[in-house]
Amino acid sequence: MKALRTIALVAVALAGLAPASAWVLDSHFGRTVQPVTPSSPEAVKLNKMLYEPGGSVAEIYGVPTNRKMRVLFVKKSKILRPSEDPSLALLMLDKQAGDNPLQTKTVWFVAWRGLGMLLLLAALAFGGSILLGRRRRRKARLSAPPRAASARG
Amino acid sequence: MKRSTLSIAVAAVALAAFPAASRAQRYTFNVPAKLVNISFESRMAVEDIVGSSNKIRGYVKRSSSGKVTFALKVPVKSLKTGISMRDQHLRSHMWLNAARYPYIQFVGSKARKLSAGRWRVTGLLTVRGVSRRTTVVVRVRKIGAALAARAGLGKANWLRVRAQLTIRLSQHGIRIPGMAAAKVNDKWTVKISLFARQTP
Repeated sequence: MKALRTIALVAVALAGLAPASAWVLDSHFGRTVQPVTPSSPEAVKLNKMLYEPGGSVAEIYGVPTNRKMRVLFVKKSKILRPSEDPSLALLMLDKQAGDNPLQTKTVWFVAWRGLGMLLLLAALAFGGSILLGRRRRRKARLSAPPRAASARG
Repeated sequence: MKRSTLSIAVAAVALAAFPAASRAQRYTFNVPAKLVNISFESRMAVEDIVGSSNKIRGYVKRSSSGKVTFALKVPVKSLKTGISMRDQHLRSHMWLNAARYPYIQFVGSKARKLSAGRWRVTGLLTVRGVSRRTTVVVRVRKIGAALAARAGLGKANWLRVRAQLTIRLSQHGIRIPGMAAAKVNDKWTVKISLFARQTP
């Protein structure tokens, strides 16, 4: 019973910790970038020659994804700030070379899933401990001699 | 005499206005991998999957009558997502079945010019052996031989072709297994940036 309560308490503590850790990781190590499948230096050179003001800057350097991505622990060398628009942060994702940065949405997904699982575990452990306690108390009541009978005797 | 002079003048104006229609042109996509950039992405709550390929074979041809035909094929084995196990799954029989259908193909003979450098092309997109009629807006930029030479591409005319299309896996007979349902979207966005060299 004590073990079950301990499990439940630890699960609740960990459940609280999961989203908190995700938040810490996201806010301290997360970075919003524009992923780009990089083009070769030759293609970039040609794209620069063909570039016209107003065109997509990211497309000079490769094929950009449709939406930005928030990633964790990315090396600075992987992020390009193009001279044409230094406000952009292009993350060069070379999939052919095995690049696959950790995304904050994955961390949050795991955190919320973990929270749910741990809360379920805590509920089961608490429920188990309550049931076990009731069963023990009932057993103790049944095995003990009735008070009234002992008083009469 | 007057009539023949007029016809010659009209023909000259027509040739000047539509130089491409006056002669057949053929461009090949069989170029070095460094000039091929194909990217695909799927967005889900767990993660965004991004992959790429830098292999393609094919051509685009314009006949003297102006009819455009094209055929492109991408080897399934060249698709990489950054995780080798995921790439293996992608190639497996449940997904793209590379052993049986080694190429993703786009073949067609319908192209309509929308504006300068923008074309609407329609063809049959074949993924995992299942073909679907697909229309794609393509951005085409001509690269003259002089510019190409300056960029180190050799003395030939080139085209830069950029396009985006959407592929629905379910339309090509791919059923996402329950285990992967939270991770893989049925809808994939494919973007290409290619260079094609003019051939005789």
